[in-house]
Amino acid sequence: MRPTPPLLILTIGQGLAGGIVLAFAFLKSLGGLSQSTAEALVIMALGTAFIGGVASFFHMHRLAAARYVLRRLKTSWLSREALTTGLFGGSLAILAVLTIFFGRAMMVSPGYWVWTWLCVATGLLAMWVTAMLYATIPAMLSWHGALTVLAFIMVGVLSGFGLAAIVAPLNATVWVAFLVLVVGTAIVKGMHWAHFAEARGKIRASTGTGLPFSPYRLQDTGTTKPPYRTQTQVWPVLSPGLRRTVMLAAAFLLFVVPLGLTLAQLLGGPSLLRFGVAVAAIGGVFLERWLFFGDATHSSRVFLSDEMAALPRVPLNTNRRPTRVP
Amino acid sequence: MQLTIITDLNKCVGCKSCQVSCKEHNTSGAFGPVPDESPYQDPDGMWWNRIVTMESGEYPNTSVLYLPKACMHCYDAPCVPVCPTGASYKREDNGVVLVDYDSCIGCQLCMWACPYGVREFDEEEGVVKKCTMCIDRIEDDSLPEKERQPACVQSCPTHARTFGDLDDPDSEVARLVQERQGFGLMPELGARPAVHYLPRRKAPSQVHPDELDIFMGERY
Amino acid sequence: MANTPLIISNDEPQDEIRRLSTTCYMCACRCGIEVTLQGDRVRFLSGIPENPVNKGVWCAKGGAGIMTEYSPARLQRPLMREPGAPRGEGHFVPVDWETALDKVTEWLKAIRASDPSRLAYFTGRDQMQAFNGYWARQFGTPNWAAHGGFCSVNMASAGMYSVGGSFWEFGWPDLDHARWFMMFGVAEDHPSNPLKLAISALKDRGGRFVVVNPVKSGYGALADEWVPIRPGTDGALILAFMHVLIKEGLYDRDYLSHWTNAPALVRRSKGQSGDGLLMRSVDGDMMVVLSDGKIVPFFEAKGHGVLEGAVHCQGEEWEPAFQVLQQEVDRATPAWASEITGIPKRTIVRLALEMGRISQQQPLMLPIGWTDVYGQEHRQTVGRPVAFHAMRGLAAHTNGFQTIRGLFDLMMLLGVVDVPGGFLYKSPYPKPAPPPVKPAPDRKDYQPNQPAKAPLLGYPTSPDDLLVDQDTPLRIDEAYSWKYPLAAHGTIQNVVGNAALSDPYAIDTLMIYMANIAWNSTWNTLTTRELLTARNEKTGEYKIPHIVVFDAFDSETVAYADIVFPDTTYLERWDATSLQDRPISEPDGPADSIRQPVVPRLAKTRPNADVLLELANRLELPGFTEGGVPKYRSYADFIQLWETEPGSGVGLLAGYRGANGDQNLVGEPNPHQLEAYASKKAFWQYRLPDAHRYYRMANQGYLNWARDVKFINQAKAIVLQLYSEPLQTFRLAGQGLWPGKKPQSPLLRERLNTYFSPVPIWYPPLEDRPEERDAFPLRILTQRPMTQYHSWGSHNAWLRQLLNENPLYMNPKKAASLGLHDGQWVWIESRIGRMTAKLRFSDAVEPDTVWTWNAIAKGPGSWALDPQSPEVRRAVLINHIIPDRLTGDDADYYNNDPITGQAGWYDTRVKVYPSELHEVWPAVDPRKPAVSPLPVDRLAYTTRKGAH
Ligand SMILES: Nc1nc2c(c(=O)[nH]1)N[C@H]1C(S)=C(S)[C@@H](COP(=O)(O)OP(=O)(O)OC[C@H]3O[C@@H](n4cnc5c(=O)[nH]c(N)nc54)[C@H](O)[C@@H]3O)O[C@H]1N2
Ligand SMILES: Nc1nc2c(c(=O)[nH]1)N[C@H]1C(S)=C(S)[C@@H](COP(=O)(O)OP(=O)(O)OC[C@H]3O[C@@H](n4cnc5c(=O)[nH]c(N)nc54)[C@H](O)[C@@H]3O)O[C@H]1N2
Ligand code: SF4
Ligand code: SF4
Ligand code: SF4
Ligand code: SF4
Ligand code: SF4
Ligand SMILES: [Mo]
Repeated sequence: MRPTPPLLILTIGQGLAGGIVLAFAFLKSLGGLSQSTAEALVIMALGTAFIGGVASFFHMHRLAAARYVLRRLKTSWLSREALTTGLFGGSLAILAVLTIFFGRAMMVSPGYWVWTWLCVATGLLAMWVTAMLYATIPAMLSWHGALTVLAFIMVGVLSGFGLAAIVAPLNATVWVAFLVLVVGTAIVKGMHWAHFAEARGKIRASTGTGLPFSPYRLQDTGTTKPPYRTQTQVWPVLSPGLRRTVMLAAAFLLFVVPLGLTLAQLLGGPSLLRFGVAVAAIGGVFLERWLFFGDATHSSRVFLSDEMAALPRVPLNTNRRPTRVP
Repeated sequence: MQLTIITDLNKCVGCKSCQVSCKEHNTSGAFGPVPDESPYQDPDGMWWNRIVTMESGEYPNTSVLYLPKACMHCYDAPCVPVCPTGASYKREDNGVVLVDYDSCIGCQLCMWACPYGVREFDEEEGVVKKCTMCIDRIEDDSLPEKERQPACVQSCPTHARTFGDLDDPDSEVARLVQERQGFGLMPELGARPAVHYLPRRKAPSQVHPDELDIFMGERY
Repeated sequence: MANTPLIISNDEPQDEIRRLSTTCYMCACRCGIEVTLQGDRVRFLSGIPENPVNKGVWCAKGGAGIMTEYSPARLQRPLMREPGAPRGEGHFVPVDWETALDKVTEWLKAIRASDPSRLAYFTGRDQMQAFNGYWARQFGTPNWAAHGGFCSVNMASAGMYSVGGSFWEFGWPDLDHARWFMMFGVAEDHPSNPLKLAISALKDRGGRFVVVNPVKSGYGALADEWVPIRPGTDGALILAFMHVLIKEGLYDRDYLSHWTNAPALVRRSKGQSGDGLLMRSVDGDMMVVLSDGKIVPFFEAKGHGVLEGAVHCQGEEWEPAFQVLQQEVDRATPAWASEITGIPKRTIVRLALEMGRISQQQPLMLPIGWTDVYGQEHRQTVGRPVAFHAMRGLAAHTNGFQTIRGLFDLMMLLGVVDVPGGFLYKSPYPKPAPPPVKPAPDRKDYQPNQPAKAPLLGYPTSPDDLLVDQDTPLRIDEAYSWKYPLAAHGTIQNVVGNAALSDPYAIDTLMIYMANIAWNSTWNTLTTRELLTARNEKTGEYKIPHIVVFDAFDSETVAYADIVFPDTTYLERWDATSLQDRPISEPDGPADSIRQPVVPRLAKTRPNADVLLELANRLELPGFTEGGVPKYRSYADFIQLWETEPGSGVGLLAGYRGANGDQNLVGEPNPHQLEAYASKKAFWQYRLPDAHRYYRMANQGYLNWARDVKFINQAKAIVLQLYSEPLQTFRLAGQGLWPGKKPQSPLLRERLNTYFSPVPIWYPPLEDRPEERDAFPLRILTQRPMTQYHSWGSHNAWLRQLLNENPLYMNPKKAASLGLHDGQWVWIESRIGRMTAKLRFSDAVEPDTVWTWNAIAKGPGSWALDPQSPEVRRAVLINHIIPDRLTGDDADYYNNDPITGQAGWYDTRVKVYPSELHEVWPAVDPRKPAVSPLPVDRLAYTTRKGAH
């Protein structure tokens, strides 16, 4: 699937916001959160949510019809996403107003505490709904299944926590929790990637076309140019090398660096290292998300490339503007 | 009622007549245009019906297959429930799956949901387009009776395509599916496509291998 | 929203819907189409259900005709090469029609008054050969032909000399009755929709379909059995089939002795003058021997002439023709053929048994009575449900003529010519084998200001009919010379080379209509392009002083014109597809059709036929003018009024003749004939009564009728030529034993002696010289894509998306043995040069063959395409490396079949190895476009009012 910027930003922003609110709620509940840090965290959450929300508009190509978007709450995860993401954004906005304008007084009130956790809940709900949107599409072989939901939420939270660390020097308890999260997410993401690999193997001519033999070779997609421009759900297959590189980089940034730096901090390293965690988490989630989209196998790939035994032909067809003759 | 098109793979020669007649009719039809990008440079365009060519097996036992692929007008069309605006819908009276361009926001989720990659996106108009089963032909009373069928069915030079109501057990399409082991693509994904294909069936040699052995041994 | 800047701008979308019938011309199949118009814009093109050709269906090209009509590549006004600008670079100035016509008239007048043969007029995918041939004959030049020389003259000639018909537009497999069908070397074929309909019918009935082809694709994909064969070796396979059939007795002796010349007595006197000729009565009847030893004329024997044995008579030894064939076939064992073809011996024997048994043991009886030429009444019609079809896979080789002769002999052996379930003629065929038309053979037949003495093309039956002066050819293309004696379609591919080298003589003006001879219908392309611009070293003048191109689009060839006449499209003019030409008839009877203008003409375009008429009138050509007064104002006039002979009642169109339009086939000209056609779905058809539908070569009822409607001159049996006596006369000339014309050069003699066997033979294609076989181990082929018609498709916005670049397909096992991998850039090298291509693996090709699609690549600057288009930058044209000439001692000959002059496109041998260059090479220099490309970003064609 083509990793379009609006989707990358929407999902990343949503995850970051959700993670930050969760971190905020944690810190808040553990006590000892300064007003300024609280404000900073809430603004960060609102900001990332806002960026994500704005990006989501760019994913719509006809705003004129946007007013119909809640019509299908009964069946469409996208309708639900619009609703829950809206709820999340709304509750975040209220949280921000409460935090910034009513300050210290508010922060100690139980209502504020409840509202904070409500934000966490709407955030998680929004992430869950977004993840469900992806996970419930059988044709997106790589995404279909619970792992997508799990990975989506955990990576989101991880990245949010990482970013939150910039403004909120986390205490040891939270750091330990973060460590556990990193390790857990790494395991889930590993399984998720394994699921992606499995999905690639599910592209079979036998059910896709009724051809009895294997392997098959695709000679024509109907037009010389594969329909990548008009069909975003498919995209040139990543070369194994590129996939491996991005995967390693994502794992390194998302898991190895935060793990190392966090341990270093726990063992008394400079707290400045937390900036490293934040940067790595952001970079990592970006790569992870890019892979999530870019490496997703759609069932219709069977009509667009050779069986994976050989290097697919169609991707070779893409960015081949001819080179100039000397 | 579930309208459908059955393609006999034992007859399809991959000529792409159906691919072009689809564009030819629909570009000026009720759901058109079916646009093209940079038509006289490095062209790229929208096609609602694409003929895929595949080969499998090892020489000389090679199988070459042509597969016309347009919307399957699925019974459990996964493109429909995912659509947030209700732009994608399945007609209750005849099972045809359509897109209402006026309420489409162009989110393309339906394209992800469709297992067959038959929905295409018009960037300029911001809406998703696809095969309409030529609804504007089959319901156009001003057309002569014989033209009230999909353009791709009418044009097919091998008569590989048959149009009809799959839910009517007496229809030609239902009979073909029944008698010729018609199959839908990717049954494992549960969309229950209405469009079916009829498999190849080979007419074997009438000379028995044992008999040929004798001939070869004795005379050649 | 970006709109579509269509070139026709004055046709605002309107609501009014009109439907008009006409005939498609997106290829030569000529389907009946209905054009639905909204206002003046084309809304829809669809097949006419009643039309006998396509029965309502239409193909990808046909439907995309809309985009051809509105193509930016269309020429819009006459063009003249910019004074002083070099030819070939596309520098033109637009001129008005008067100027252009004046100029060409001036050239032509001078030529006609001095030496008409200094005009060479050659046409490509032309569907008005009757008109063009008539025009050229009236002009008086011998130098006219259509494109058959580079197309499929082997198919036409071999059929005409064997059965007085052929495949293609002359005959057809009866797949409505066949149970077993073998197809050799067909990718798409001319009657492409009919063939698809026919294969579909066969499939519906569960018939068995066997495809002999090095490549499996298209129709072949549906084959019940694919027989991969090495290219150029089908002749051996066919001989081996006959070997098995004869050995097993699986052939139709009755059929042979009744309807073919198999029992005709052949003189056996090696090295003497009459060797190999038939015994004839004083009346010229061929003689046969009966089982009681009595020698009688063929017709008196009534089918009882014996097929074997020897006869001594008149002091000579004679044997039946069948026996001569048998001797040739005896040597052709399955083992021998297996070596040559790469097909297992076992498969060859099995296939022969299949065709033999089904045809001989499972005949088909139709309850149709008929009377044969012997006066015998048949209560039933015996059919043999085994059909064959073949096209350029057999034809486009330098041994193609003999291979196709072999196929027709095989069909005679099985008794499947014009029988239900077998091969059926299309009207006006059968004609005598060969048809009794011959070009005038002497120089004096082509005099200044005189029409030529006879039609310009025909069928020589002996060396005396050749157009030679000693060894020197009379025609610029050397057709009907010793080099290519039976060149019944001319040899267009020789013209540029010969004209540029003044061999056999220099010409003044070359007129090209509808042929892209500077690109895809030529070979050794780069050299040919140089020849088109070659100059006389002393004078600096072009060796071909004037080139006139009639085209509708800005093709590569347009760039080489001095004057360009812009034709209309097929939707803008009157045309006739005529029985005098290549008919659209189906086996059940004659048919023809018309085109009518359905949309307004673009800019200053004018139908080519009208332009030729105008030229004829200005030149006051006989046949077109009487006492200087034009007889026809337009081609539409000509179509309706012209007659083959004054008062013959036979004209271009056979339907709605007579003053009231109530006569068929023969009748006075009808000045409202075109209207009648237009109102009757644009075609006319006559269904033969059942009793006239089969065994037409010997069906007395049919023959009488055919004589009455002037298809044939006499209602006499057409005897199928299992043995070809005309070929033997050429062999005798080669041996110096022919009393009339014979060649002097020993090389010419040897060619005649080697190749003109009266019974089919197989010899390796001429490219297979031992010196080069090993150096160039692979054979390279092209196939026609179903969606593209030669170079016509690439300017069509829809069609060009379907195919715009072409890899070289290679068998993966072969590639592995050469160390090549999928997707890699490779060199393809033939003995005349090399080019690059991208490799694509395919298990659907036999290992010794590589192939690609035909005519996809385009030259930069042509066809109104962006020079960065895939057709320019990523598609490959193998014509660059197809040798135009033979080598060594034979360098004087083109790479043609030595019998017919058919271009040997598919003989080219190559080697393939990795390329360091990752782009298309050779790249030709860009030319200046004659029409400017349209920089459209988005095309969203619609005829709906109010729609963008
Ligand atoms: N769509 C479309 N239709 C066309 C045309 C077009 O350009 N496009 N062109 C028209 C014209 S001008 C012509 S002449 C006809 C030609 O019609 P075809 O004869 O069908 O055309 P080719 O593409 O030359 O096909 C030749 C076939 O023979 C095979 N072949 C090559 N060599 C051999 C051999 O030695 N033995 C055997 N058994 N097979 C061999 C090739 O693999 C190929 O499949 O098509 C006409 N119809
Ligand atoms: N390598 C290889 N080369 C081949 C072949 C092959 O199989 N392989 N096949 C050969 C064969 S069989 C053939 S027949 C030739 C065909 O080759 P050509 O006869 O050259 O056919 P086209 O490429 O279609 O070019 C015909 C020209 O007609 C023009 N044209 C189209 N419509 C009209 C019209 O309405 N009016 C006028 N005036 N002009 C029009 C086009 O613009 C084009 O310039 O190619 C031969 N070349
Ligand atoms: S793109 Fe349009 S039709 Fe498809 S899901 Fe979105 S709104 Fe519905
Ligand atoms: S084929 Fe795709 S677009 Fe058509 S109904 Fe099924 S899921 Fe929807
Ligand atoms: S039914 Fe109509 S819209 Fe659908 S593929 Fe056929 S021609 Fe196209
Ligand atoms: S038109 Fe018919 S034969 Fe041609 S590709 Fe379509 S289904 Fe196949
Ligand atoms: S086969 Fe040829 S004539 Fe017939 S519709 Fe196609 S392009 Fe037109
Ligand atoms: Mo041809």
